[in-house]
Amino acid sequence: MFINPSLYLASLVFCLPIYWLLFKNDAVSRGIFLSVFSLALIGLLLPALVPLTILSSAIAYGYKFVCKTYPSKTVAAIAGALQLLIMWLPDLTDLDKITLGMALVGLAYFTLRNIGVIIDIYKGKISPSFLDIVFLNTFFPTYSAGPVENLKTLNVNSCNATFDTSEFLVGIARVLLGILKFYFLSAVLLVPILGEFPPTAESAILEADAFTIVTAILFSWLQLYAAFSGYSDIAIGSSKLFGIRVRENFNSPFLARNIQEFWQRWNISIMNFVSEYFYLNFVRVTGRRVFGIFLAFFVMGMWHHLSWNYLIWAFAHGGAMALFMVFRRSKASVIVSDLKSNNRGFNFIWVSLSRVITIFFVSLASAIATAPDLETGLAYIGTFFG
Amino acid sequence: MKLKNPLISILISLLLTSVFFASLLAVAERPSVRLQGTDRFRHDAIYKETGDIQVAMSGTSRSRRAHYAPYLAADLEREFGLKNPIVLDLSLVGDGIDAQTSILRMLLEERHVETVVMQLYYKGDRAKVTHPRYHQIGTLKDVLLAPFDKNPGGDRFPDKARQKQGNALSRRAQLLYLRINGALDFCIERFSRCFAADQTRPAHWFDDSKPVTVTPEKLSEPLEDLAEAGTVFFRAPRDWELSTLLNARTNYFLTELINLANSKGTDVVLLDIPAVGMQPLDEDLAKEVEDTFGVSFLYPSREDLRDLYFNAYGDKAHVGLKGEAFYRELLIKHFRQDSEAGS
Repeated sequence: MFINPSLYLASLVFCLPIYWLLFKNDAVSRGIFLSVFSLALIGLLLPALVPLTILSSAIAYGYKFVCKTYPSKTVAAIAGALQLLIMWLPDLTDLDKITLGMALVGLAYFTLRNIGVIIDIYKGKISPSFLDIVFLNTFFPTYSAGPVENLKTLNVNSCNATFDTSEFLVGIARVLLGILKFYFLSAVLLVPILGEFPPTAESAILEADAFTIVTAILFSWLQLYAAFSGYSDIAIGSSKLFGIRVRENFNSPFLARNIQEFWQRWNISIMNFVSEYFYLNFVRVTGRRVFGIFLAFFVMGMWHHLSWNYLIWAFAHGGAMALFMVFRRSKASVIVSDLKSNNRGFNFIWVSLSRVITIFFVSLASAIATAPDLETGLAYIGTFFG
Repeated sequence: MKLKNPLISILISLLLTSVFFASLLAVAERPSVRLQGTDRFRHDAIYKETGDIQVAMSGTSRSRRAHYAPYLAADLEREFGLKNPIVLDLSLVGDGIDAQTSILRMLLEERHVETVVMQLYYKGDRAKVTHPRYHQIGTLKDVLLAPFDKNPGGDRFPDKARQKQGNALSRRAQLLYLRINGALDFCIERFSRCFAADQTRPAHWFDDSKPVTVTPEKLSEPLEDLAEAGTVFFRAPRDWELSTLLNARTNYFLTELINLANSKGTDVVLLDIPAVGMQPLDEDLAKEVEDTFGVSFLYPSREDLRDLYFNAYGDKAHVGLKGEAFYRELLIKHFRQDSEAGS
């Protein structure tokens, strides 16, 4: 979705009748229309994104032909590295990041999707058309913040649906739910409550007491959840209006009892994507699960932002996940499971504590990652443990 | 419709997409959209009232304080025997010569104006400012064509250092984006009004023109500055070069205004209104501006300013009652000379 809700809604209102009535039963024309319209919207936000989107898609498409002649890992790695270069362009240059932040989030998404396309082509799973790739990368409901799809699930054939009234109504309801979360819960309720919190200056964080910091980072995380999941609801609902199914992105992450469950409930699409294209491939080749976990979180961290803060975030999540895996295989896990099944009181306390600790941990990691610099990020830890 | 040739699909898609954005841009071009928000007074003054206008003024708060419109109208009536002359003060649109001239151009397109009086910014940050709502107030042509200053100050783009000529394309795209959003917001607001209960209160008029009543003790603030500096003209000398006074952006908007005024038979008067301590306008430069644009450029002389700074400023930037009388007289004197030259 784009920055202004009026433009987004007007785009939906304009595109839907054309999609369903004018290009009836013509998936290719529908795909072309949505791609052209989406590119125009993207160009309006930041003209440089249009050639970058097309270039990134062209690299992925070009790789399809190169792969036939040179089916080596090295060539695939080069094509992937080119995508990374485009992804990190804002970090490597002075491309406008502040006023067009949302648009540049889109940059990270389409380059990641194209890395997936390259891997799938390399494995011989797909043979996409250029339109397939452009459609995957530009479809405006999912352009700037997902959910992250791959070419197997979102391509021009996805536009082949026939109109279904009940699906359409479900789509409208989902968009409304998203608006409620994104604009009301997040922007109207939580942002004003947060006010100046969490403090963004290192000195202010160090002066604050632990309770203030904990409250602030928990509310910040809640606001992030309301905004992000609201955004995903709008994207999923909008896609439904076009008869296109995109995967779910959130499933009550605040109910997660451990870090593994958290990642099955939070930003599910990106986790599945990273798991499918990076973690599983790495484990299959090397057999090293723990390293694979660290690699997956490293990829996710660097995908968010090329910074020390996200590196710490990646190590924190990777470390927590690895520790959890060790715990799950230990005797302690069996003892706890026995206690939980035999003692309801213990079960309640254990589950409640697990939920609180999980949410606190991800909130703290999130606060560190989104802090303006490394010192400020570390100040959160200093205040809490100091 | 099933199209077998993808090229036809692309062309139809491009056409439909263009129609969508063109229709929004057409809506954004309407005066009611361009002047939505706090410009209701200006919109109604230009589009709802009728009759010829003797003098229309535009500028900053300094301009508003230098000419109280009803007093100027009374002076015109007394001096030239005009019956109920209309003096319209459109000042305080906000910083930026782009918006100042856009308002005057909207007025000139709609109604006959005998003289336009415009405060010309001296060289400084304000001369480089892009109005925060320029994307809305300016015409589409202005948004697409007006040059940006190399180092604009104070516009809506927060990091000045990043604003270079190189990303003018992005800036124009952003302005177009904001313009389209403005049009959509307007449409939605109008649409939502259909469901709102009838408004019983009269529309809010943003007419804050009122007599300036400066008490003598308020004069102490500028006087303290003068005393502390030990000289009347304590501010740094202004860089009197035509090319720096009129940067490309100022030049563009001024030329657009003057061309329109010429085609409508309207006189344009430029005015320099310094803040306390500023150096007077350079005579040669004023002459150069007059010759370049074929307009009159009024400004207080060094001697005038010596007296004005001590006796006629209500605060560091705005004149009080005495200053107001001075600037009114400056205009009247100009009209008198014009009238004598005409007869």
